[in-house]
Amino acid sequence: MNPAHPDPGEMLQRVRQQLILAQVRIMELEDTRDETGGRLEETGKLLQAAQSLADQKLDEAAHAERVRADLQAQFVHLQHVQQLTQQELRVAQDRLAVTEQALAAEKQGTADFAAQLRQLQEIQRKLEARLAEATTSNEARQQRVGELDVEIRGMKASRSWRWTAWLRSLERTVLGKKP
Amino acid sequence: MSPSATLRLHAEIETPRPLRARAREVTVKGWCLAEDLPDPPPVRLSTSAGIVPLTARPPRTDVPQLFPAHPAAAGCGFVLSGRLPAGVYAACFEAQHPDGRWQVFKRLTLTVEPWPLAAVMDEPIAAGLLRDRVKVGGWALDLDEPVAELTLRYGHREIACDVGRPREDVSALFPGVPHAGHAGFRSQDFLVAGHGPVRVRARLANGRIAIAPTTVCFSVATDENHAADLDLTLPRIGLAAEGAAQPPTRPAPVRAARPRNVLFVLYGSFASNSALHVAALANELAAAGHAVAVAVPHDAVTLAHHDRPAFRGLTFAEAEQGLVFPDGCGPDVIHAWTTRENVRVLTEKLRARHGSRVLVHLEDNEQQLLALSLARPFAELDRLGDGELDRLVPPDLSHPHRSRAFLAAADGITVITERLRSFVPAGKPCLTLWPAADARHFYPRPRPDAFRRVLDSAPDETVLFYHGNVHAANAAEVQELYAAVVELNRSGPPVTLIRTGRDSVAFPAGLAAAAAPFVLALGEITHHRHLPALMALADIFVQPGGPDEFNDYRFPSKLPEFFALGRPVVLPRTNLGTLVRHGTDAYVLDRADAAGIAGAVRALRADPVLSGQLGRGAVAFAERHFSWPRTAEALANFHLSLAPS
Repeated sequence: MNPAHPDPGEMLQRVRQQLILAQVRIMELEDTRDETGGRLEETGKLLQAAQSLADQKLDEAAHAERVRADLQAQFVHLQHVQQLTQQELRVAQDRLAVTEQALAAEKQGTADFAAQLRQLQEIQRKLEARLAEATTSNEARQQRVGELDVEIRGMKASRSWRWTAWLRSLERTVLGKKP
Repeated sequence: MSPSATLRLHAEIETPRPLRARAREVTVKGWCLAEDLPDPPPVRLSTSAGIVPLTARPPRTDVPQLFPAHPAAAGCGFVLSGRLPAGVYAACFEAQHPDGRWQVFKRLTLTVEPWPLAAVMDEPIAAGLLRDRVKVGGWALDLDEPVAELTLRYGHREIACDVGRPREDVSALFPGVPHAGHAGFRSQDFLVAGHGPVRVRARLANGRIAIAPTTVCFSVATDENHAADLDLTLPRIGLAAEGAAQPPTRPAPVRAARPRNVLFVLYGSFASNSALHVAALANELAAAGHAVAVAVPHDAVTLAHHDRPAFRGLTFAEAEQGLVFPDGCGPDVIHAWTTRENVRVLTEKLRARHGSRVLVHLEDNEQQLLALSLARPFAELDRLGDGELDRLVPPDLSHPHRSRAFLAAADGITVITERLRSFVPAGKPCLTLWPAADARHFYPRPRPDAFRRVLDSAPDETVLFYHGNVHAANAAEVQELYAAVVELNRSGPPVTLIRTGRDSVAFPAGLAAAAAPFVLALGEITHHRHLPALMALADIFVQPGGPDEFNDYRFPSKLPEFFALGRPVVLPRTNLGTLVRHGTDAYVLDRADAAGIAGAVRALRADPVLSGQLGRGAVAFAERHFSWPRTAEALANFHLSLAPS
């Protein structure tokens, strides 16, 4: 036997061993294929999901951009309205200042009037007091007049007055006095 | 309309979204009209890599129903088509103002897939079967990258080709591709023997590999290295038998009422035999709703050896740095897988940190393993002081003193065989956990007879199968198996032993040489799930050995797998061998030594009826006694029975 050639039995054993190991390798490769296929599918799904999410975000961004543009337009409009309002406000403030000045003058006039009124009221109060005194005095006098009148009436009704009537008539005649 | 005004556009993109273009060809359909224009505006698709123009104006009947008064409604359809480089783009759909400006009306993403390698064989034929030993040629083109190297693959052959050959016709076909004019290739040599459809395998200038099928099949019958009687056209014979059995349907797992955080601490990597048990239990507990992690001292990457693990794998170092389960808490239960020093040390650290309940699993006579490894009687080792033992005992073996204290401090013990209860401290809760086989892969499988006919050296050959490493503790009994194989071949029809696993102990030279012609040593099979297809080649499974201080306390993890495959199992009257019925469940020997094994194999060969009965008996025994779901349920109940921490 040529020693360079391995024993046929050993060769056969190697072939048998490799035959089985080839099957193991095939199983490993099948695992790799199945795993890779699964991963590829998963990756595809992930990409699809990522794209869908990105599309959704793009839609949201577009919507946000439209909202931003609307708000910008509203902002510009509001700025214009604000300018007009400020102009009106300045005019109104000027008017208000004038009115305030007039009001101050009026207030001063009113104060003066009130002071005069208070003086008049004091005078009125004094006059009323004096009136009351006069009234009281007048009433006293009226009462005295009444008493005197009663006294005169009594005197005139008296017999002496009547008995002396002639004297008085004489007097008037003589003296030219009226009765 | 003033130049700065915006067109009031109505538009729709009707190509299904998300937009995806195959082979760089972009086509998008839709419609677009402007309220302020009497005619539909021109549209285009704009990307960072280029513009896809308007190429067609298909009439529309639906848009006029939406805009009955608009004169442009019927003519506002559009088709955009063109080529873009592969990539993902932000695509802007734009309409043109009368003054020439473009206004975006829609933004979408666009994925453009690369153009596949285009390959054509046209020398000497462009299609069909080529039987002649000639040189062949054709062209191969990738639109982006020139081809740097190219081979043709057919059957089991691969032949090299010269590339860069001029091809004016290809250049004319692809006018925009500068390297198209040199897309030609030609084989460097004449075809060699091989049979199969031809694939072009190209390495592009950027290093990417691309493969393209062709319409040519080579069928060269012979060459200098292949005799004419070697038929290369035969179909491949695989390991999977015709109509091979499928794994049994698994019932839905029962969800745990009180899910727990469970940490297994394993003494070796996920490639160890014990990892098969731990992984199976961890998967079952996870299926029941528990959160499960498994810590290993090294080589956490070996987790990839397991099929679809449902648990978290981590290293001891990672566990020490901080172990947090999904609920934010630490482990409720730490299941220390053996009392070995590395397991004990980590378990005690984690127990102190998390206040977890601790279970310790016993699966071997640790004292005997230590004695065998250190080659000293255990009694002698046990008398040594702690300091001396600390120096002697490696991390992956059990310290005689510290392991006892570890067991005494545990909240419960699990054992793989009843005999191991002798190591359990009195009064300590204890559960026996029988291992099982992974039912996803280990189930009754018919023998692949077609493959066996190729493999066998004789029609009456018998194949034995033994998977597992050979180490100091089992070397003697595996030698008995080898001796039995030698004896059987010397005295009868051929017997082949198919073996997997690593040998850390050398066999006697004479036995190794005598057995070599009859042993197919396949080495380590990385993925345990691939073993059953190889095991199906066997006629008989043999577990060698006999009752002794090692075997009486263990439960060889291969036994449930043997029983699950549905072949006669020869085993010694120790551990499981004391529980099975000889002649019904298995073939039980007082000692499975060389003579006993040889006798059992002869008996089974001589009695096919008995062989068939034992095959069926093995399956029946497996169905009754080996079930990871049942074992895991018992373990979960054991967890619950322990007082809460």
